Amino acid sequence: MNAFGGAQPLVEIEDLSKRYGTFDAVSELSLRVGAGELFALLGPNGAGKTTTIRMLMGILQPTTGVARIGGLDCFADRVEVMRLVGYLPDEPVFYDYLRGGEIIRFVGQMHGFSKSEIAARTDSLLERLDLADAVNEFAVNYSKGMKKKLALICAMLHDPALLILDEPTNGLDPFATRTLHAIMREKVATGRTVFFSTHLLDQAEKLCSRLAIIHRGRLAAAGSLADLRANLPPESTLEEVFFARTVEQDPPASS
Amino acid sequence: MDTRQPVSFVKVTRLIASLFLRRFGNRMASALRRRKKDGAVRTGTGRKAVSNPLGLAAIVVAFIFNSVNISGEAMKSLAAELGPVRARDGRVEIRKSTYENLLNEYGGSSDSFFKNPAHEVWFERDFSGESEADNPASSADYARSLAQVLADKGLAGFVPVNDPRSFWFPRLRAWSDLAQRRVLLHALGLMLLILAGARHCWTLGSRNQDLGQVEWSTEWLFTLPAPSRTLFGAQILGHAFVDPFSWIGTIPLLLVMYHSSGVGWLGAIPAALCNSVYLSLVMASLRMVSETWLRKNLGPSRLKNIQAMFTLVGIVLLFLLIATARSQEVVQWVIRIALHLYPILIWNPFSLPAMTFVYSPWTIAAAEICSGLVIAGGAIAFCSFLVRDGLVGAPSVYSGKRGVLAPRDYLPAGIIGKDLRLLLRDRNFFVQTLVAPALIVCFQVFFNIGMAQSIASSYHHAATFAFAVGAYVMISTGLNVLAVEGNSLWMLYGLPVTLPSIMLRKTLLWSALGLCYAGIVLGVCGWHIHHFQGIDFSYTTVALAGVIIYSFIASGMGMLATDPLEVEVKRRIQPGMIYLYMILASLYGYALYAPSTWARLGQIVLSSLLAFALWQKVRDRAPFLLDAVSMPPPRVSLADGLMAALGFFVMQGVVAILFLRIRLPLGTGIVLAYTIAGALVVGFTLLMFWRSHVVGVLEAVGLKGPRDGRRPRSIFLGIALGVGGGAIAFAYIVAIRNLPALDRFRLNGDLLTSVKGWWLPLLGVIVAPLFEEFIFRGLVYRGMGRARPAHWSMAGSAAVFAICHPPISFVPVFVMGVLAALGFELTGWIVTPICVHMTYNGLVLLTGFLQHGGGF
Repeated sequence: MNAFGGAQPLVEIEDLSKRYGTFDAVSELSLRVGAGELFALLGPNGAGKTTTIRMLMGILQPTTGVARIGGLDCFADRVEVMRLVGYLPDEPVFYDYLRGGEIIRFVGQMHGFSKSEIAARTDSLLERLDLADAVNEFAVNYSKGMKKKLALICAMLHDPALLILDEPTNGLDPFATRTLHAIMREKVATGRTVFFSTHLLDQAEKLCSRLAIIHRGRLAAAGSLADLRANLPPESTLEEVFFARTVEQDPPASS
Repeated sequence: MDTRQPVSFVKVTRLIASLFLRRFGNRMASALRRRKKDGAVRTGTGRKAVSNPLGLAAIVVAFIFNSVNISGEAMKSLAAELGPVRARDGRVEIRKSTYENLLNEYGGSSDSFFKNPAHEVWFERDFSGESEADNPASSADYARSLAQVLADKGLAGFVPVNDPRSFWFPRLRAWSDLAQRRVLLHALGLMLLILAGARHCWTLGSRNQDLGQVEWSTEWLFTLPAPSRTLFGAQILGHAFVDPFSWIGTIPLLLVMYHSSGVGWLGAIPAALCNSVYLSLVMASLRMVSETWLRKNLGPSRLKNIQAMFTLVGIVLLFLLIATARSQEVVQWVIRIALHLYPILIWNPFSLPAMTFVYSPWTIAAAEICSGLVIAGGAIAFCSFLVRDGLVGAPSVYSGKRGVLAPRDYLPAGIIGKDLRLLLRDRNFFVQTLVAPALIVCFQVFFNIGMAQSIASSYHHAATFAFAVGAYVMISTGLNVLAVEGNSLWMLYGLPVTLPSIMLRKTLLWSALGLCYAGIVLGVCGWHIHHFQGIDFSYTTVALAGVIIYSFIASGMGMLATDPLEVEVKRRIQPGMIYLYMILASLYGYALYAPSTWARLGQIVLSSLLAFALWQKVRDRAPFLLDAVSMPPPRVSLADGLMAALGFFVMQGVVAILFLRIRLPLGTGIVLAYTIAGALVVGFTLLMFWRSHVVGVLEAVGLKGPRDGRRPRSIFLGIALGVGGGAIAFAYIVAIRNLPALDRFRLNGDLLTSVKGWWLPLLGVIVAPLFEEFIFRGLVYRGMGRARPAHWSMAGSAAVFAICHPPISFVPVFVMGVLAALGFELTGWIVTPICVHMTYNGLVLLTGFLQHGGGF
C-alpha cells in the first residue's frame, strides 16, 4: 500500500468485511487502486475475490468498512457507480430465449445509447472477439467462452472509466486470451483503469502494474511486483512470491 | 463525447417490457421450429431452423378456444346449480319454446293432474333441455326443480321469456334475479381467487428459469445503471404486459363472464381487457415480491423444492377451476363456500373484477386503479426494502465446514441408486415424473364419472386401468431415460459399461415403480369390488406383464428418439415418439379385452418381441449416439416390422369385433377386417417411413423387382409354391375333419360358407395378401434377415404371421409363411410371396366351396 502523492485513488477499499453467519468471506481488507492502473487481485479459489468484487458492484452490502469508486460509496450510490464501471462476471448468466445481439442492444439502450451508436461501438468489438457470426443465436446456448465474450462486450459498451473483470480468461482459448489482454492494455493506455481477479499467476505477472494477494479473506500482500519481492531473491517468479506470502498467512494447523 | 441520455423510469420500463416480449416471441418461435434434416451436426452454434407461424397460430387459437369453452361451461354449470330464475312476480322464467310445448301438452289439464305426484317424473322430461349445463347431474337437478314448480303451480307458475342460446358465450338469466345474482357474484369472485392462486403457482413453479439456478438474472439487471426501484417497477410492468397466461386464460374467462350478464360486446370487450390488465399487474407485483424474498432467504436446493411444491399446488388449483365446468360436486362446493365466505374475502384485489356487476363500473374502475397503484407501489417498496442490505443473503459458492459426517442412507449402489437418490432429493424431478402423472390420472377419473364407475365395479376394467396408469407413468420416466441425464451424460461415457446396459438397469427401476402404481390401482379396486373376491389372476397377470413389457418399449423408444446433442434441453425428445408410444400402449388394451387366450398370448408375445427388437436397434445405434454424422441412415428394421405386425394384429381383431357387432356374417367380417387392417397399417407405416426419411424402403421391402426377363419366372415360382401350400392346407382340413380330436377346430366350415358375393372373395384373395405380404415378408422377414441366418428368419417371420391368425389355421398358415419367405428369398421380389399367398387363399376358398357346396 502506498500513497499517490495527492492524486485521488479511483478505487478505495477501507477495512472491508463481509460475514455470512459465522463465516468470514472477507476480513478487514484495505486496498487502493489509482487511475490508469492495471490492477490484479490474486488468490486461490474461495479466497474472497468474487465477494470483494460483488461488494464493489453494490450487490452485497459490506458488514463493516466501506468500498468507494470515484469517491462514491459502492453500495449507497450504486446507480452512479454503475455509470463508471463495466463488469464481467465469472459465470455470466443471461435470460433464456434471447439472442446475443438482442442482449447487447438492451444493455446499450439501458445505458442511454441509440441503436446506431450501439452498432458503431460494438461492431468492431464483435469482429475482434470473433462473435459476429453468433449474435443471432440464443445466448444461453453459447459455449462458456462465448458467454464471457458477450458479457465483455456488454461491459465495454459504455466505455467505462473502470473495468472490473472477475476471472476474465477463465474459459477463453489462447486467441481470445491474447485479444483480451490486448484490450486490457489498450484501455489502460487511454487512461482507463482495469481491475481484474485471477488465480493464473503467469498471466497476472505479464499484465499487471500493481497487484494484491488475498488469502482466506485477508490481504496477504499488496503493491507492485518489485515491492512484493522484498525479502526474496530478486529473480523470484510471482508464483514463488505468492506461495511465500500465503504461507505466512496460513494459520497454524489446528487439531 | 458522451452522447448518452440519462435513462428515465419510462424508458427503462419500455426497454424491459420489450425485452420480455421479445423473449416470449423467441420462445414461441423456438417451440415450433422445424428442425432441418441435414447431415452435418455441430454442437453449440448454427443449426438454422425454419419457424412455423401457422403452427404457432393454430396452437394459440386452440388454447383460447379451450379456455372460452371451459369458461362457458363453468358459467352454465353455475347457473344450473343456482336453480330456476324467478321474475319479479315470483313466476319462473322458461324459454318460449318450452312454454309452448307445455301448453300443447298440458293446456287443458286440471289442477289435480298437476298435483299428482306420479306425474312429476314425466314433467322432468319436458324440461330436460332447459338447462344449458354440460354436466348431466346439474342439468338433471335443474329439470327436477322445474318439474317441481310445474307440479305445484301448474302452467301458471311459469312466464315465457326470450332466451337466445349461444354455445360459446351463454347469456345467464341468473343476472336478472337479484337473489341469484348475489350468489353468482360471490361464486365468480371465488373462482377468480382460485385462478389467481393457480397463476401465481404456475409462474413460480417449474417453468420459472430464475428460481432454480445458482445465479439470478435480476442480479445481471442490477449491474446496469438504474436504481433498484426502477428496476423492480420495470420488471413488474414488463411481467404485467407480457403475460401469456392472461392472454389465453384470464381474458377469455372475463369475456365470457361479462358477456353473460348481457352488456353486449361493446361493454364486454373493454371491460375484459381492462380488468385483465389490472389482474396481471397485481399478479406481477406478487411474483416480484415472491421471487425477491425467496432468492434472498433460501439457497438454490431449497428453492427447487419450493418450485416443486408450487407446481403441485398449481396443478390442483387449475384442475379445480376446470372441474367447475365438468363436475357437479365441485360447482356445489364452490357455491357453498362462496355463500359462507366473509365479504372481506370477496373484496380482495383478485375478485374485484367480479364486483363490476353489483357496483357501478366506474366505482370499480376507480377501486382497481387505486388498489393497482397501491399494490404495485407497495411491491416496489417492499422489494427495495428486501435488498437494502444486498441482493443476496447467502454466498453462492461452497463455504462448508470440515468434518461433517455424510448422512447414511440405505439406498442401493449403482445407477439405480443414483436415480433413486435424485428422485428423493430433487423434489422438482419427483413431482414432474411421479406425482404429476398420478394427479392427472386422478383428475381424469374424477371428471369421467362413467369411467370411474366401471373401474370400480368390474375387475376386468380395473385391470385395464391399472395397465393404463403404469404405461402412462412410463411416458415421463421411461421415455426420458436418456434425456434426463442431460449434460451429465459424459460421466456415464467414462464408465466401463455400455450405455444401453446402463439404460436397461434404469428401466428396471422405472418398471418397478410402474408396477407399484399398477399394483396400487389393482389393490384398491380389488378391495372395493367385494373385498378381493372378484380378482381374476389372468387379467392381473396380463396387466402387470404389460406394464413390464411397455416399460422396456418406452425406454427403447426413448433411447431412439432422444438426441443428446440437441442444445435446447426441452427439445431433446421428438414429440411424435410420445404419441407413437401412446398408440402402441393403447394397442395392448386389446390383450385385455381379447375374446380368447391365444389372442392374449399372441399380444404378449408380439409386444415382448417388439421390446426386444427396439433394444436391438438401440444397441446398433448406441455407438453413434454422440456422433450423428457417422450414424448410418435409418433403415427398415425388425422393430418397424413388429410394430406393423402388432398394429395389424390388433386392428384386425378390433375391426372384426366391430363388424360382428353390426351383425355381419363371420366370414365377411373377418375378410373385411383383414383387408382394412392391412390397408391402414401399411398406409401408416409408409407415412412413418416417409416422415423419418428412411432410405431404401423400396429395395428393403422388395418392391424393386428383378430384370424383366426374370419376372414371369418369379410369378410362376410364386404360384407353384402357393399350390404346394394349398395342398398342405387341404390335407390339414381333411385331417381335421377325420380326426375327432381336432373337432373343435371345425369352425372353418362356417367361415367359408358365409363368404357371400363375388367381391368378398376378391378382397380375400387379391387385396388382403398385398398388405399382409408387405408387412410380414417385406418388413418382418427382411428385418429379421439382416442379422440372422435365412432359415431362422423364415421360420420366425412365419411364426409371427401365424400368431396373427386364428388358431385353427396356425399350421397351414405357418407352412404358407415359410414357403412365401422362401419364394421371397429366391427372387427378391415381393410379387413372389404375394402370388404364393394369393394362390393359397384362392385354393383354400375353392376347397371350402367345393366341400360345403356354397354358391355365389
